[in-house]
Formats: sequence, C-alpha cells, structure tokens
Amino acid sequence: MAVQAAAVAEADAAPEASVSPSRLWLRLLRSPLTCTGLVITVVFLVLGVIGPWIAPYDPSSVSHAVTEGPSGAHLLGTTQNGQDLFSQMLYGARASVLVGFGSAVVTTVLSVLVGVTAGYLGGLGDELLSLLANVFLVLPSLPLTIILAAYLPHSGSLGIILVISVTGWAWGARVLRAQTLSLRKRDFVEAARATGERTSRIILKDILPNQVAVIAASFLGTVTAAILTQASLAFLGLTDVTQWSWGTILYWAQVNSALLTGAWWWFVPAGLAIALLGTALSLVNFGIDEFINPRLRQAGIGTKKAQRAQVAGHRTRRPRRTARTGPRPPAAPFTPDSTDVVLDVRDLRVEYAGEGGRVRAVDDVSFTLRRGEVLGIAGESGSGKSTLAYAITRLHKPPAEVSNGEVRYTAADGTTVDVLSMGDDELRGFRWEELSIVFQSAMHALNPIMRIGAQIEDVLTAHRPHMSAQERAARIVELLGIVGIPADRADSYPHELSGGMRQRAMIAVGLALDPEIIVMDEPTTALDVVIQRQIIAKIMELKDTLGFSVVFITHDLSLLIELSDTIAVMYGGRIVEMAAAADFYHRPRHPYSRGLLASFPTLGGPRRELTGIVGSPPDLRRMPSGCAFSPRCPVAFEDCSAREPALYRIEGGGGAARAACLLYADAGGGGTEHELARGGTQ
Amino acid sequence: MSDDEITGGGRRGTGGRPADEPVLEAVGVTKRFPVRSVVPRRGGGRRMVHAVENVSLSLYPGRITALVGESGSGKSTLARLLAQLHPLTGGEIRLHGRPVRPARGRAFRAYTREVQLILQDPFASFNPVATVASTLRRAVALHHPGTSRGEQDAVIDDLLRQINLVPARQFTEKYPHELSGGQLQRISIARALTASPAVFLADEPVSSLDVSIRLGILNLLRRLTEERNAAMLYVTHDIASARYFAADTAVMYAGEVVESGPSEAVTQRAAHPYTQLLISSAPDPSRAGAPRVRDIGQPPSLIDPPAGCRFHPRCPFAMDRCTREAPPAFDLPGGHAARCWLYADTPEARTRRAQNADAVAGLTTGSATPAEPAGQ
Repeated sequence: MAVQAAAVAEADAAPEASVSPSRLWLRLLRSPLTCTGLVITVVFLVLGVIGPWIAPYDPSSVSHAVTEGPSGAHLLGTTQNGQDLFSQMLYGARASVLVGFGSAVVTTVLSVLVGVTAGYLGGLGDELLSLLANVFLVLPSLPLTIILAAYLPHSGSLGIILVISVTGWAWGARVLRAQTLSLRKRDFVEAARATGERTSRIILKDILPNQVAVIAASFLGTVTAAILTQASLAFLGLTDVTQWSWGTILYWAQVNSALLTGAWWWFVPAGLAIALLGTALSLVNFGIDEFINPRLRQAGIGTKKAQRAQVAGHRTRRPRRTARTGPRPPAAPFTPDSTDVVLDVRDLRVEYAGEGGRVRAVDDVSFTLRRGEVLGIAGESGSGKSTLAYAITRLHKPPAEVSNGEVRYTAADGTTVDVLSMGDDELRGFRWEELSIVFQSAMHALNPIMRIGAQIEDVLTAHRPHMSAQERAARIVELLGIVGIPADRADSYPHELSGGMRQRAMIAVGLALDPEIIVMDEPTTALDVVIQRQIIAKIMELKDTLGFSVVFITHDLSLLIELSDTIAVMYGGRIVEMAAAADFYHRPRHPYSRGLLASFPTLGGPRRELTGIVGSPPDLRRMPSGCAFSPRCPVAFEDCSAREPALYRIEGGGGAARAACLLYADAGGGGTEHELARGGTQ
Repeated sequence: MSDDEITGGGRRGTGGRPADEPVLEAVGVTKRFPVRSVVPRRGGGRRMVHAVENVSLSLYPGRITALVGESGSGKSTLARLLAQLHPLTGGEIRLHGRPVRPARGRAFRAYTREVQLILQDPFASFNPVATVASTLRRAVALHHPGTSRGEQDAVIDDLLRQINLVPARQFTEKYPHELSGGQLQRISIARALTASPAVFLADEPVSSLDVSIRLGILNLLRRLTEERNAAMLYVTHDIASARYFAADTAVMYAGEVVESGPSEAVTQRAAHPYTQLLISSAPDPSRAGAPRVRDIGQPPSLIDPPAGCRFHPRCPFAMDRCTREAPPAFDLPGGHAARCWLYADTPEARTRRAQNADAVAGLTTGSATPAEPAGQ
C-alpha cells in the first residue's frame, strides 16, 4: 500500500514535458551569435553549390576591362587580364567549401573509426592503433602536405582533401580514444553491457552520442583548417592554378603584384571570405555544445545575469579587528539550559537566481548555537542544509545569494559582529580564526600537490605571521597528534593517505587556529562505518577538551541523534523541527521527523515496522502551496495545503521543542482531532 | 584453504518457502586483477590485487541474500563476477546447477536473460543524451527480438506500471537528468525486468538515494523477488538494512566471506569479530549505551594480504594460529557459519571465545550493562 501511494505521489511530482525537438531548434536560434554563425555558414554553402550558375562571367575569360575597380558591370572589379573577380570568387567558393567540408568529413570519419575502436577495444588493438596515430602525429605535416601536394597538382580538390585528411586525422583520433576510454568505464555503459547489448550497438548508442560535442568541434575546426591549408597551398602555387579557388585568386594577385599596384579589390574579397567563414564556424562551434547536451539546454544557473545580481548586493567594509593572539580559554561544558550564544542566525534566506526566476534554497531559517553545543542539522538532498552551511560561512557563490537575515557571531570576550556585513579582509580573519569548515570530500578540499604538513603551515603563516618556523613545526606536530595522524605522515601527499586519514587531516586544518565554531558538512559520508565511528569519536573527544561548538550537517539521522545536543530537521529549505536530541528521538513531533525515524532500519532490539515516507522530496522550483510536506504527510488535513505553518513552540516532556506543523498551531487550545493525529502516529 | 561452502541458511529455510535448488551459485570463486606498474618489479611475477578469494555463495529462488562489506571488501567485484562482466581467475559459477562457461556474444546474451545487474548510482547508469524511452526500448528489443515498435511500447508501459511509475508516458519522454534519483532507480529496475531474469544482482541499489525513498525501492525489489520467485543478491555496506531486507546475510572482509547465515542470526548473534566491529560501528540510537568494540588499524592491502586470517592484524582476539593458518568455515547452530579460529575446538579458542562473548554481550540490545570495551 505504502509503495502504491509513493508511486502516485512521484507521478504527481513528475516534471513538465520535455522540450520537443522542434522547440530545440528555436532555442538554438535564440542565441544571436550561434545564429549569425549558422547563417553565414549556410550562405557560403549555398554559394558553393549555386555559385557557378549565378556567376555573371566565365571566371577565366579575358576582357578589355583590365585592372578596374568595382563597378556596376564588375561588382568586385577585374584582374590584370580583365577577368571578372566576382565570378572568380563564386567559382572559388565551391572549391574552398568542397575542400573544407570534404576534408573534414574524411578526417572525422578516420578519427572516429580509429579513436573509438582503439578506446573501446583496448588491449593489443588499442596499442597498435595508438601507435599508428602517434606515428602520424609526429610526421611533420606542413612539409608532408607540400610534398604530397606537389606530387598531385592535377588531381584537383580530391588530391587536396586526401592530403589534408591523411595529415590531420591523428589528433582527433587521440582525443576520441581518451574520451572513449573514460566513457567505457561509466556506469551506463556497464549497465548496457550487463543487459547483454552488442558491442557495436553500445558504441553506436552509448559512446558516440556522448562524444558528439567533441566530434562536432573537431569537424568544424578541421573545416576551417582545411580551407586555410587549401588557400595556403594554392597561394604557394602548389595546386592547379587554373582551377579557381580563393587561394588561386590570391596566387594570381601576388604573381601580378596587386599589392604594389594598389589593386586592393583583387585580394581583399578572398581574404575576407576566408576570415568570415572561419569566424562563422567558430561561432557555430560555441553554440553546438549547448544544443547537443540535454543538461545544458536547461542552463540558467551560473549565467552572467545571475552573477551580476550577486555583485549588486554590495556590502559595507569595516576595519579589520585585531587577531586574537593567545589560545582561547577552554569553555565550561555545554548544558541544555545554557544561554551563552556563540552564533545567532535569524531569518536567513538564500536564493538562487536562475533563468526561470528565483529559487529559495534556504527560507527564513533561524537558530542559535550555544558555546560547546553540537547542533545537528538533518535533511535530505535539496533540503537546503549545505546551502545553509555555505551561507553562514559566507562561502556561497553566485548564483546563490543571501537576500535576507542576519548571522551574528559573539566572540569569547563578548563582542558581537555581523558575519554577513563583513568586508573581505575581516572575513578572511573570521574564517579559520573563529569559524572553520570541514567539507565532505577531503580529497577535493585538500590541495593534491601539497604535503599535508605544508597545508597546515599555510594556514598558520597566513594567520599567525609572528610565529617562527620552529613554533609552526611544533604546532603541526601537535595538531596531527590531536587528530591521531602519526607525525611522520606530515610529509605525505593527500593521495598517499587513506580516506579516513585525509578526513582527519581536514579536521587538523580546521583546528589549526583554535576556532570557536567548526561547521562540518557531511564530514564522514564518504567513509566506511568503522572509520566514521573513529572520526566521530575523535571529534567528540576534541570538542570536550578544546571546547569548541559544532554545526554538524548530514542526512544520517541516526548518527546525528547519537552525537548532537540539539537537532534541527530541514525540509524544503526550512527548519521543520528543532529539539534536544534525546527528546527528538523519543518523541519526534513533526510528521516528517517521524517518517524519517521510521525509515532507518535498526540493529538493536526487535525488528520494528519500517513505514518510511511516501513520495519524494519536493522540487525547490515547484514548491507545493502551504506546508511543503503536506503532499507526503500521512496526517495532513485541508488547511495544510493552504496555510504555511510557523515554527510553533511546544512545551512539555523533556524541554521545549519547536515544530513547523499546523497540528501544533493551537498548542494552547487543544483541538481534539489534532490531538489524535499528534499522538496517533507516534 | 578450506573448501567448506558457506551458503547461509537457505536450505534449512529460516522462514519462507522450503528453499529448493540454488538458481545461481559461486563455488570457490577467486578473482585477481593485475596491477599495472610502470617499473617492472624485480624478481617475482606481476603484482596482483587479490580482490575476491575462494568465495562460495548460493542464491535461492524467492529469497534475498545480502552481501555486506566495506569499500574494497570485494562485494561489488563478486556481483560483477556473477554477472559475467569479468572473467574468473579461479572457481566456478553455476546457473541452475550447470557450470557457466565464459561467454561472449549470443551465449552471453542468453546468460543476461537469466541474470541482471542493477547498479548503485541511478544518475550515472543512464546514457545522459538518450531519453528514458529509448534506453528502455533498446533493452526490450534485445530481450524480445522481433517485436514491433508498438509492442515494445506496450511492454514498457506494462513494466513501468509494475514499478509504479504511472502514467508511464510522463516519464518515458524525459532525459535522465529531468528525473529524481528514486524515479531513475525504479526505471533502472524496469530495465532489468525486461529480461524477466531468474536472478537480480543489486549492487547497493539504495545507497545513493535519500533516506525517505529508500524504503520504497527496497519494498519494490522485495515484491518483485516474491512475485517472480526470483533470487536476489543485495550488495550493501549497511548491515542494518540487510537485517530488515534479506533472509540471509554474508559478510565480506578483504575479499573473503567471513560470516554467513540467516540475517537475524548474523546481526543479533554476530560470531566473527569483524562482523561485531561492523555492527558496533553502525550508528543506531536504539543501542545507546551498548558497548563499543575497539578498532585497531585499517583494512589490509589486497596486493599483499596478511597471512593466515586476513582480519588478524585488527582482531583484538587474535591467537597465534590466526597469523599462520587461514581459518575454515566453522558451522554454528541454525545455519550460521563463521570463518574464525575462535570456533575451533581447542582450549585456547574456548577461552578466547568466552572473552569475546563477554566483550560483545549486549551489542545489539543496548539495555544490557555496559561491558568493558574489548581491548587487548
């Protein structure tokens, strides 16, 4: 039953219809640059096809109008022999376009065949084909082109196409081989293999479509290169100079000293045509990736518009505070009724500016973190928990933007500052000194080409300029000891350490300046449970001895309940419940919290019924009206889809809790129906 | 080396139908991957990663068997070996009791019609530039050759109904990035269903999904297994989910199956010190106050695995014998087996066994008096 309901809810949440192929073309045309490039390319292609028919004169026929400038009779003027340059240009367009696209087709076919085959097959075939490509790569292509062209002067465009393709395919083959090698290891290729798909079809359906962008780019690049090569060869007189092409025009212009006699109309059109076609092809190239990749078609995040919006929200600068010098005195252990607030977040709102409007990732979030407290923030993907972490550390980047709220930090000496209005210098001092961050992926957060010790030293040099080298070295050994890394590993590079060790190193960097607050964003998610347990035990031990406060963010509610003092559950960008951890575990108030707790299988005690939650988390772009959880809520009533619940305070039991649920809207009044629902699902 | 077969309680049947012959069996399966190194090693042959070592495992119709282990334990490699995606180094895979020859082309396709693999990351396991419909249509064309496009679409609609994605048309015209992880994982299951396989190999099918939707996917897999009387291998790192989802559980460490048996027995009366460590480390507020098994060290290198029992350098109960001889599988009551010298019938083992029992008493009850953490 639950599964059935889940399916219905998921179907409801299905996104809007995909963009149909015809609409796609329209989208492509919306980009003015791509569009311009496309139009110019098409014009040249058409001219290449129909040019000889619309040419007013035979390009080779001589007349008495010698070396005349552009006029009504001769649109682009005439040569020394009275030949019409406009007609020569039109005939030349055919030759240049033919050579350009012809060589690109042959080159691309060769590189795809060799590159993809080598990359997919691997083994001996790969080694032989790669060897072949490498041999062709080291061939000096310009001399070879000249020699080959000199041997085949009368074979016309075909000879040139052959020459360009033979010297040009190897580079593309290498790129495609590398791409195929990486695609072959991707899950969807593995999945296709496991279904029993034929190799040829995997290459055709899975590998090639994902390489279209690269293939198209190399195709267009080859077109430009081939037109240039052809023009150069013709200019040098290495082709049949009686066959008209843009290069031949330049050749005759040069031979007859057009530059010296000031006959600019002789060489400018040909040069311009080559440059124009090259530019047009580059413009198409820019647009093609967006057109091919279905993910980029919906781009919107990371646009310039969004980035400008961020810059507009400027902040006032303040003078930098003097850095704390001595170590912080250890604080008293945390008690649930402490009022010593170290971080106070009020009505924080973070929005992503995108093409389709603004999306609220964090919506009016308020919480306080007290000295020595571990605040656990739980949430699923898209709940806004990581965005929140980035916003309170001011590490968010456009298109994310803090549009409302305050983040107030109170130092140990009682001074209070607003983190959101800090200037850059001030912020640099604040981060690491007062507040540090430990990210999920230690491999990415650590610099791969710096030794662990050097990375810690970096932080110390930047923030403690008065420290001597010996003091720094001593501090590094001390820090590594604190997190349980043997001191001799200070000289290791990140890749030489195990996942657990890297995460410890990250924590050591976070502790380097003895901060008041450490924000941890899924610090153990990528680790195995046994290592996770070691790291968590270490963090808790350090917290007790060093007395810092922790904001711990994770999707793993069981872990959070074990280590936190207070738990905040986020859903759809809002905090929906906040309570002391033990109280939360025994009496979750919000139906979402209950559902989450009932989704975790337990190892202890008898097997209990796992109910889970129907449906899937909401899409921030299409939030349901009223309470965001109402479509998935087993106890939702009419009002829930109309009214957005505030974070109501609930008294009684093990201290005060807060829940954003209309069941508690009348907490003082006591509607019997809601009483039932409140108790009924516990 | 022992050839004792670790099969779990399948034949004894700890619940459910009396299990018959296994559908798919791994018998003493071994896999070594050569290590590519730039500089050839002096003296001695090529270095090898001992990814899977002498593993035997049976999958029964209508039953889910969990394969639990940490990253690098070889559990995913074993699933891929069973799917015939890699050739074996040693041992044998039997389908319906008949040994399977390494196959390519037509024979391999026939094998995939019986055995289907479901991968962990639904976002990565779909071709990003193909619509869901075209991905599914390819699978249908492969396993139902000669069907018209209309018939293929009917098959797809029917499959999507079975995995509760309705209306089907709303999903099939989408690209993978337009769907949620849960929806994609359902479609991934539908792709496996096109073959009407006798065996599903699910490699961490819910690990990359949100907690609140995991249960729906697991229930779906369970329902399909029961309805179709298919066998399922459920590969996971989450031993708690194995307890709820699978009838039998096998625990892997460093390429070997160290413990196996009915899930309830393995999770509630864990016999192997590694399983005990794993259970003790799993976060679970229901066991607040339970003793913690102390961990010393980390998983060994599989290029040069420790002699004897591969867990002995980390084991607080290791004896002299553990460093020299690899333990065979010892049978415990109720179809439960552990590869650990603690269960040998020697005086030293008996003493150690008693120590171990003391140390882990109350591991999964949480209410028991907190015992001293196991140490040296």
